[in-house]
Amino acid sequence: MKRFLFLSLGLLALLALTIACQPTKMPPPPTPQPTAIAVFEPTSSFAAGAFPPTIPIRQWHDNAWLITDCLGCHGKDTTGEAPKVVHKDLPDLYLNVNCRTCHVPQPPDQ
Amino acid sequence: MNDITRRDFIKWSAMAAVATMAGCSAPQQSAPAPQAQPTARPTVEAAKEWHKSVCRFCGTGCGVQLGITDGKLVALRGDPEHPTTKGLVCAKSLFLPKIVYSPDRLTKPQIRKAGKLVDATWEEAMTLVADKFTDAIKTSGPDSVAYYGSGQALAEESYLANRLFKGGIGTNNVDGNPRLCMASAVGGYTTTYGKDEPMGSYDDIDHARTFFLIGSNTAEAHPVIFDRILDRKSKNPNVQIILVDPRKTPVRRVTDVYLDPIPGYDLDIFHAMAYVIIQEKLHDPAFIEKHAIFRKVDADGKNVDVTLDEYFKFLEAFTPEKAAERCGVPATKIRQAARMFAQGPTMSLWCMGLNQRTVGVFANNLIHNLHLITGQFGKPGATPFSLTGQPNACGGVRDTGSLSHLLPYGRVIANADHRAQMEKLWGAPAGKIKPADGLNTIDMFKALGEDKIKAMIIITTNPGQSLPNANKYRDAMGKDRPNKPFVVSVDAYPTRTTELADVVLPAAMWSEKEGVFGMSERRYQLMPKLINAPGEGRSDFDILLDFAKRLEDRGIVEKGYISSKFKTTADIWLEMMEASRNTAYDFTGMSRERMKKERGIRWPVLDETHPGTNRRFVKGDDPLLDKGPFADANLKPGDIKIYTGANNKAIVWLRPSKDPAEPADKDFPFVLSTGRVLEHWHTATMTMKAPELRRAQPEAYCEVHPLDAEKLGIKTGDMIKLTSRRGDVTVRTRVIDTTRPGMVFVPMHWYEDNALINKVTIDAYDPASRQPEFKVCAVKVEKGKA
Repeated sequence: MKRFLFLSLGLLALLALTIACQPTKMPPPPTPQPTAIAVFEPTSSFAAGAFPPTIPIRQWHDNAWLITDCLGCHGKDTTGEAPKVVHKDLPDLYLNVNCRTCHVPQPPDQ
Repeated sequence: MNDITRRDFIKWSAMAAVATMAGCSAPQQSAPAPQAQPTARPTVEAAKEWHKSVCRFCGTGCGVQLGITDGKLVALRGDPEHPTTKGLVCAKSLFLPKIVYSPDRLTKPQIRKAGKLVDATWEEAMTLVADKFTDAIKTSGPDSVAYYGSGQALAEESYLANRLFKGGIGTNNVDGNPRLCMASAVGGYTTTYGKDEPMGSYDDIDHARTFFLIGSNTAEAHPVIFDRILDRKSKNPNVQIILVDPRKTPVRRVTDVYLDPIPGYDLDIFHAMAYVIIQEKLHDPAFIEKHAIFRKVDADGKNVDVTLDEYFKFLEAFTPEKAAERCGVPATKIRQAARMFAQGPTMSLWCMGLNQRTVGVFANNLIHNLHLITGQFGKPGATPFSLTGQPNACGGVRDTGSLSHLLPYGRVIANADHRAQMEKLWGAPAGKIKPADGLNTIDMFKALGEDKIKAMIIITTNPGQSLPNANKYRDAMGKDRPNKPFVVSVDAYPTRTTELADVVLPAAMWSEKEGVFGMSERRYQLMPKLINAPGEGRSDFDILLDFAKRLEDRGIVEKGYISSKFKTTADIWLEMMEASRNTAYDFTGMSRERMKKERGIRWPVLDETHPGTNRRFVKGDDPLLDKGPFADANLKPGDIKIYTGANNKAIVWLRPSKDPAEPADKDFPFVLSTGRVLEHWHTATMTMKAPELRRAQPEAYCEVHPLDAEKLGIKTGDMIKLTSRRGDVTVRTRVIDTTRPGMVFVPMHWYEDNALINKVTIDAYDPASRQPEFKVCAVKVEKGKA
């Protein structure tokens, strides 16, 4: 009887541990920050990618005019998490220009 | 997008596996925030067809490609094949597709009845407009009506309006908002070289070693030009930038020498630079001998030519040390700037900081002086270049002569031969064009307020917001009174002007009509019609044709003067080409067919095979030195001949330095200057329509220097009230050391009553150019209420 109880408790513990060891829920695929990618308005008929990605105003983007080296974080060969600049179909000249020319800052709640 | 999902999925899967092995859960809240990953700018594949066109904002004239699907504009991108803007384009342009389809576009004519604008038919509205103008002309004469146009209208539209009013109705009351931004540059070029418009081009950016930027926030007002300068500097470390601006704009970041004069006192700097250049023998005596004369205005107002020595004697009153006392810039910096300038090749670029001044023409003259005494002229990278704020201020208004003192293509009202030439070309009776200048912008709106102007049509511009001392002129346009003048506003959107008008006509805008924009470097570009205007919108051209026909029918304009000659903008282009023949603006080689194929052409261009002119006045480049009235067979390639000048020479002017009209004083101790931000354009009636642009700069603000903020007890975010002798605004504070202490800065774009900064600005104007002094006026600053 004792052995049975131990065995049962053991099985229950194992079952509980097994359940506990399962991730409670698979995390959902991350949602890209909408302000960091091309703005697309599904309700409109504008072409996808018709508008340039905007700049999320975060601590480091508070005054984008003061940032002189956007490519320090966004350059193709950098290793951080910042989106990397890829100007597909645009001339190399774009890599030497002021990013704020095209990329407008957006407040955090947008 | 797929990359992001895949990479993050892998990341999350790995984390889940580790969590399982560790025997613990992976709570969602502990997961690192997902980061956006590298994304390609997606190609805009939804567009079925692409067409070349031109941006409609500033005078840079960016080449764009427009994506069209099923008759709708779905995307815009820079045109990499464009010869001067090379695929670059700014945010304002990129958001044009949203701006065009803004739901508040005007779609029906409106007539004011019992104080309210109500919908009407075109027939009702145009009949009323024609009747009101006819009544005014019959009872009070042709000078009781006026046209107020814009550097945003097509060249053909401005030319047509000019033709109708000056040669048809018989009034020179034709002016437009280029008077508010460009007139001093026109005055500078004209008084120095005899004719208007830059002789260099944007190509010079690729050759200049020194950039001399004066009163130009190029980074925000002309971002694509700034990008080209940045590109030049990044590839050529010896390139140097001098900036003259009392406000530390974003240009300051890349400046080698920064001169921050007390607002309104920069003329002393330019004279002091000239002094240093001659004193240190950095001038170019050979160039001066061949191409320049020195001239002053004596006490009787007469022009008197003087020598180089006399000029230097005059400059002794402006040594760097003396200049420093007045302008507040250290003498050492002035000397440094002078030496850099003389080294060259030097390209000067300036904008409203120089033009919107009561000494605007003088200031322009002094920049030209520096180029002339150093010979920084007519060589690659060496040129004085005025930037323009509107897409068609140059080609549309300056060149077509659509200002109250001008006639097309370098002609002036005051010249009897010029009047006769235009009367003949236009088919107007001899003597129809009056010999006296019409009313300039400020005087025109003053006359409206005094009920001397009885009827006015305003096209493609927003004087209800853009005029200085706005309260006064808003009353002139809209204040109810007995016999109030009749005001028509033609626009694509509701504005602070349409709200004052008696009739509002819905206009087709950019890409909804075909016509020519002429930008700052003399490049004329054809904008095709690609989409339809919403509702009942019509082009300004069609509205003016309709208006002219009705005036012909009422006997105000000679029968057939307009209606028998033109149906389309292409029709009138033929006459415009002819009007330019044998002038310094000759573009007879710029046929419509050619313009459809090419990405703009720079005049002068005398035949279909000429590629257009990079540098005027230079043999081998300027075709007018090979053929026509200015031809000179004795010149060798590269030789310069300023054929529009006084005896083929430019004038170095001895101009006095003058104070601004309203310096700070005891009662109004701060100087207010206005300007722009990158994301908005002029009165923002368009750019506020793109949600992204609006959110980027949603609210008016005032920059206050930290030392002033401390004294005033205000901090960033506080509301402050700015009061001048004319009006007040209350806006949010940004405490930042961009301005000099004692100076505040407010952008010009916001139209809400509390933020409409032109209620505060001054309408004093330059007596030579009649351009108002938006850049300097006195205000008091106090804490305001939210």
